[in-house]
Amino acid sequence: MNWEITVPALIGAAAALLTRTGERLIAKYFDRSTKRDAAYDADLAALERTTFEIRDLATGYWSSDPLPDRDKVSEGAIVGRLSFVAEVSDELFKPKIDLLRDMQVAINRFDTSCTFGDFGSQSRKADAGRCRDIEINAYRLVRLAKAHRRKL
Amino acid sequence: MTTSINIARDYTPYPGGRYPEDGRGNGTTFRENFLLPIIKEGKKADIVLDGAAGYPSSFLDEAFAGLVRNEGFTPEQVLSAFHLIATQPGFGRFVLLVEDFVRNASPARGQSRRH
Repeated sequence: MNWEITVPALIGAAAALLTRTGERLIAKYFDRSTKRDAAYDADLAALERTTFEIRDLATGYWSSDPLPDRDKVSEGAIVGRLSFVAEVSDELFKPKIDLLRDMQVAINRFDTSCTFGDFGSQSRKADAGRCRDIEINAYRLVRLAKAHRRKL
Repeated sequence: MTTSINIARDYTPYPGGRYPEDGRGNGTTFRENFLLPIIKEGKKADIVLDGAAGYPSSFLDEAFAGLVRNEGFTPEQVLSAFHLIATQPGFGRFVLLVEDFVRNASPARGQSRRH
């Protein structure tokens, strides 16, 4: 055997193999990272969309005195969607507990602006101030979610 | 022994409203039938929040902060008597909400009951 040819050839083959394996690992890493980012972005979009749906429902609810035929449906839709927003947020931010806690506080603030006071009561009155709070807290919640998403 | 109350199983899966006239699942009835007997006897209870279809903040306020506002207990007594359990995704925030409502509650004017 001619070692002067064989050894460099073996070294070359090994290097090629290592490079190829490295490339595959890097590709796999970026693929996983891209998939994870896509999942984060989808959660963020769902959170934003649902928050503004709640905003629309809640401002509609508090824009008028009780509407017995419609209130129970609106109340159910608001509370159910708030649960969904909180669930998505917990899932999205569970890797970073401090971000998750911030989001819980912001969701509670938004929730309170929508469902506190006489929410669910037939004695409630239309409340323009509350509509303003709902708008502000919806935008603040979405802004915070976007800012925190960038930290994941 | 600590009592365990699962709101969805023992009261309603659809809590909502403050007062009895607001319908089934209201906060006052839950407070009077489930929480008050426990805290009055100086006992403790685990309150399991999981399983319900969400909680309007008005229900949580009436049920828990109502013990301070309407029944004359101190926030410390209420928070020490009840241990809230929320393991379901999205439900951990309700524990923070209840603690906040209870800590910020004041006895209603004219409230004379003291425990």
